[in-house]
Amino acid sequence: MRALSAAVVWSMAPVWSMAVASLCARAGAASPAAPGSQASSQDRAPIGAERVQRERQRARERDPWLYVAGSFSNFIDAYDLREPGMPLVETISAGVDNPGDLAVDAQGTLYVDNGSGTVAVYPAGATTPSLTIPLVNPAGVAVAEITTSTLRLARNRRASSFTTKAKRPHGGPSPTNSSPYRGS
Amino acid sequence: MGTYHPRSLHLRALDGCTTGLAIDQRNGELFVSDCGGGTQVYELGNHNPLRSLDETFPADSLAIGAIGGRQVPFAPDLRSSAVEFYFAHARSPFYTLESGVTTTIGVAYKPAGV
Repeated sequence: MRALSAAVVWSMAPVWSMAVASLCARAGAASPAAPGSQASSQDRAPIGAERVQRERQRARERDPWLYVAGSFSNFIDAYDLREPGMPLVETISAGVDNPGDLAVDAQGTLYVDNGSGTVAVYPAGATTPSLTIPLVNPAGVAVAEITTSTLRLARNRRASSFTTKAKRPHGGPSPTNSSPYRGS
Repeated sequence: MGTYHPRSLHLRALDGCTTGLAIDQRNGELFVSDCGGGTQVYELGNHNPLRSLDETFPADSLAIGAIGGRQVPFAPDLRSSAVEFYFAHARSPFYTLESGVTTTIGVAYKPAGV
């Protein structure tokens, strides 16, 4: 039953199985053992969904990805930029509604500006949002890393309202002071 | 929370319909796209564009990231499902990613290691 479950999971994620196999080959590691082959104890456990999830996370962390949104598509596609052919490796649909702008912060958190009036926040590796920020007609999202703090801004088409999280430390650089443009 | 005072960069050669912004920190360049098509590239601190990217499509947003150690600007084509990839200092794309979405509007780069 466990082997059957593993087979079902793998069959549901052919793209990932190919990506994992390719990554294993590139890294010189052993590919997932074929049925009937002699597998080491490390290959045997964990199996099934846990293993798929673990390999998926490894591949995700190893490679650069490009997230792509379409204004008439209620999903976000992610492409692996290191794999040959830059394959589709993930699709996010939960919490996506008329998406527009996207942003990723230094921790790999994905921010999706939904035209329906929210910014959805996906922690690295998650396909469901951990946080949904309500806004009026958001038009863009950007992430800024300021020393140890993070500032998150979401523009608003109708008003200048925005949300911020965390504070800029005292004495830290001000964006208005660090501009290279003089005499503007 | 702090106070921020926006001010104009007085960038020239823009048509008043700015949509996308991206900064290439490694090469010191600012990319600005507009809804009419085309993306202007400025050296940071300079008001005049260094060059213009392909002007045949509008890019509603921009992103920049590294592929194989090279900086690559990404521009989604609002009129199709494509995302155009550029090498630094190039005017024309070297690769077109045909995505699964329609009316490509947003792109974001996740670096390796996160």
